[in-house]
Amino acid sequence: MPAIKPFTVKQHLEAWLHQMEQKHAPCFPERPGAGYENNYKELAAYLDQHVHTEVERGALLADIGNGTITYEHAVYLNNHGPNHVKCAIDRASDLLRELNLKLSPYEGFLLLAAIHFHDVGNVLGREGHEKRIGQIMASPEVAKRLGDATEGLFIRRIASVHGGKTEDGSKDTISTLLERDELFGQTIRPRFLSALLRFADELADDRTRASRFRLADGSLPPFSELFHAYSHALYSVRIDHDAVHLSYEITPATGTRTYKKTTRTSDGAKPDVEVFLLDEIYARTQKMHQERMYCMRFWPSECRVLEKIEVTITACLVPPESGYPIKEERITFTLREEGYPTGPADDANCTLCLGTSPERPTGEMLKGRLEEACRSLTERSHG
Amino acid sequence: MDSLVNPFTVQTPEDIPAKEVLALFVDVFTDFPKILGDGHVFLNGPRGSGKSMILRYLQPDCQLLHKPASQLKELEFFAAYAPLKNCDLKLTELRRLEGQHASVILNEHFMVMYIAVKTFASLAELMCSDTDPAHLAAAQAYGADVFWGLLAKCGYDKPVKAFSECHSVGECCRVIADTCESLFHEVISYLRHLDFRKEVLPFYGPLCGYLDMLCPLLKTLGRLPFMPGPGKPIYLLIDDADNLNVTQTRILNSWVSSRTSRFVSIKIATQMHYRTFRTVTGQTIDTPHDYTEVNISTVYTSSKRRYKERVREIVRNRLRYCGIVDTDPEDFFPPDAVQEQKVQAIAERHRRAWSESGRGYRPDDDALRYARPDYMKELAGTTSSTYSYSGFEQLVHVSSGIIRYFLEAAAEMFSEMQAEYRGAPIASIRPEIQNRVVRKQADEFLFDDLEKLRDDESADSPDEAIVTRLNSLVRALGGVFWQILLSNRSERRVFSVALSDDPSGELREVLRLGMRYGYFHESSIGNKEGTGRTRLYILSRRLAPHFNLDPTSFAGYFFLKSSQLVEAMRNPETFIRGMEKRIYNPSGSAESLEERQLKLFE
Repeated sequence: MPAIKPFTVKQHLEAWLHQMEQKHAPCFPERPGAGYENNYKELAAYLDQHVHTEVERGALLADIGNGTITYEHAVYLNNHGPNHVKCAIDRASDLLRELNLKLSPYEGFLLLAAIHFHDVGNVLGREGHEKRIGQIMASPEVAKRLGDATEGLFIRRIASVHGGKTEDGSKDTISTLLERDELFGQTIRPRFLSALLRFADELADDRTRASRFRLADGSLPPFSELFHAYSHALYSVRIDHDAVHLSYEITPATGTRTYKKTTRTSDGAKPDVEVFLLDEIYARTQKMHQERMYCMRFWPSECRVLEKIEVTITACLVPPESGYPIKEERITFTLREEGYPTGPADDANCTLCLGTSPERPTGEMLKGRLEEACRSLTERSHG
Repeated sequence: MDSLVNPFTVQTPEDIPAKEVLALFVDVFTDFPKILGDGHVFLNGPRGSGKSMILRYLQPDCQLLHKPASQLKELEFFAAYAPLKNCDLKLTELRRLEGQHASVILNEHFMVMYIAVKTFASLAELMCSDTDPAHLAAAQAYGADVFWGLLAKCGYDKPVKAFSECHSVGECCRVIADTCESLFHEVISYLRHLDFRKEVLPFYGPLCGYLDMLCPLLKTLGRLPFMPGPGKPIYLLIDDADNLNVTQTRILNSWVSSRTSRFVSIKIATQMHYRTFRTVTGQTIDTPHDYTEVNISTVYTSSKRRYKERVREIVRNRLRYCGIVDTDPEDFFPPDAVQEQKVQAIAERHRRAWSESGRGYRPDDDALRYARPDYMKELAGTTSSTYSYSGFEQLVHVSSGIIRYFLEAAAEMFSEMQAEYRGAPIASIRPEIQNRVVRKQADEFLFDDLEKLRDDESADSPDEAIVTRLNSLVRALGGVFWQILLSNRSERRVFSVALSDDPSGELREVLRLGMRYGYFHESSIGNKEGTGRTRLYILSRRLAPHFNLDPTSFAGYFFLKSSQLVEAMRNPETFIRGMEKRIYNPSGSAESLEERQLKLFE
């Protein structure tokens, strides 16, 4: 198998691709077409304009088309459009830069293309969307921008393991890919690329994805609110050399109410439940912790340095729009592996801190605290 | 009976019409019950052991006659046959992809298309006259929605043929088979173009995998109203899977590991040279977790009664099919009467002497164990070759658990009889002809077949040095077994060696080659310490006439260290001389040959 010629990625991935083609053109495989950057730009522009913008609408229409969904249960996805793709590319660039991960120029091209394709299957329906990428790729306008079929299939496979399950029901989808494979005489690392994409996607679920207007307006279908509320709460994602730092904000408006959510039990049932946003943040950060451990397994051994996820949840005890002085309490915790492995995600070792309380507050507890703060504020204003 | 028809002619099972298959096939599923039913199966056996015939019998045209049934939907399963021996999957151009360009993806697409062609071409033939409106509508919808749909997802963008124009289920299947065939040829054309270019060429066709194309295609096919039924799986019969290259083998293993056997059960026949049990992602497939293993030679070499009964049934069926009815195989292949009288006389002597000098538990034990070796010992030297390998029982033993060896010898004997009798009916094969043919074939097996193997210059042929070592090892062991036959040891019918330690790399390679080409069978026995089991290598009794050995038992064996077998394959003469001393060592000390006899269930 030919050797890989990797380069560090110290800038945004798209700018890096440009630089690579300018300075290291011979590092790309020779194939017909107008250069890799041009090929990527043309593909990205088409997808941005004609496919990404259709994702949320397409998913909703597919649900309606199935005829099994009520307005209440309808899922109006948070942003899966060009902004989400851009955000995922930003996060992948951050990971590459901060963790000193290296890519060959051709791998960079494949990764960028795969990020563009990872959610497009939603256009045809949310369930199993990762398996529908091929259908979008096969549409003539997309296919002609992809060119070679083998390259297209690599991109599809890298993109399609960002979620879902394998044929035998396992969530270990990345292992279905080869560790190394060859394309146009170059070695590429499908598992590494897909693990990068998968974790970048996990981190690309921030405030930019929320439909702020509809959230504030209360015009989202009930079972869609939580997606948007969660995204809106995550206002900062930062990666440094060994940690992901997540910052959330919970206001009295979002912290004192519950949101409707459909869960999945181990026996396949899908009961509806009501959850507080704080509890949802706990659940989602636990999942992110699992994803970090899972994805890092496929990174080069010397780069498995992303040790922890540091979470800060700011509970605004005074509504930001009230004009009163800011009064906040913070819940901070770190998700990292410590001590002897205990298995289930709920037992993942983490350190917690809420003001002076040593215990992890639940959503119910936070609701009480926020309501108390609100009463005190009202009394002060009347007094 | 047509005197020109040779009842024992061996044909490729693929070419035998269903009616003839049914007349000739002997039901072996009681011996190998795991072949039938859900689940992936590896059916292993040397060339000629009947694997392809088993797979042929599972095909729907044979099953329709067997049941009997008039429609596919009445069957218990639908089986599609994909032989890999002489097919384009072996294209040498595929090697240009290895380590260069998407070899897994392109090989998988190539395999998927090949199997789809075989499946739907077979269905097209079977269903050509099915114009039942419900069946036709289902087939048309299947073609338009499922087939074109799956193909489109894999990147197919050419104009599609309208299934609504098809007038029978068979026509719909033909459209699918033809489309897949053209895609298969696209790959061939692409590969051939690679040969003329320095750089890798882009591939523009659709790319289909097992999980995104073949499996859902077959799964949905199984639900159509003209098929056996939703609860009944489709069998993919992959014959001669040793012919796949390493990448293709890994791909097939990935299919096996994908837990789809409820819908598609893959039955894989190999000639003991399957290249790897790893999947494309590097995991191994294991039995019984992922598949079931059936080893034909192990079953038939370890149960001579069962094998003899199967051969008897096969001979009866074949004789009956050619009009020779009510003939017992024993009568058709009579032994040399004079020789048998002499052997019986010696046997009687042993029975009489048993009370004074017997070595076995019963008089008959001594008669069985020593009569024939004693007779052969009397002939030893210049008259060794006058021993007659004749009679159904001896011929069964000489065929060494491989039915084709029996049939090929029988066919040649029958031809000689035809030439002699010039059209007159043949009621039996003369013993001298039987003996002449099996001796000639034993010599050919050792000389010509190994010579061909040595001269083989194809890419996957074995190393010449390994073939030479195999030749030496076979000769050395044959020579030692003959010395033992002539000795006064308690068990003189020795055909096997047990290894008291693990074979080295080169020895393992030589033994593996020997097993692949039928010179050895592998089994296992309890080790000397009684703490576990060890490997047993049984020399093919097909070689008995070459070395003048008694083929009627393979019960005796002796322990050797692998270093001694290495000596045998490097310096056969030295090995034989060394063993001679141990065979004739009267002291019975630890230095002497340690021999044992196989016990029941070993």
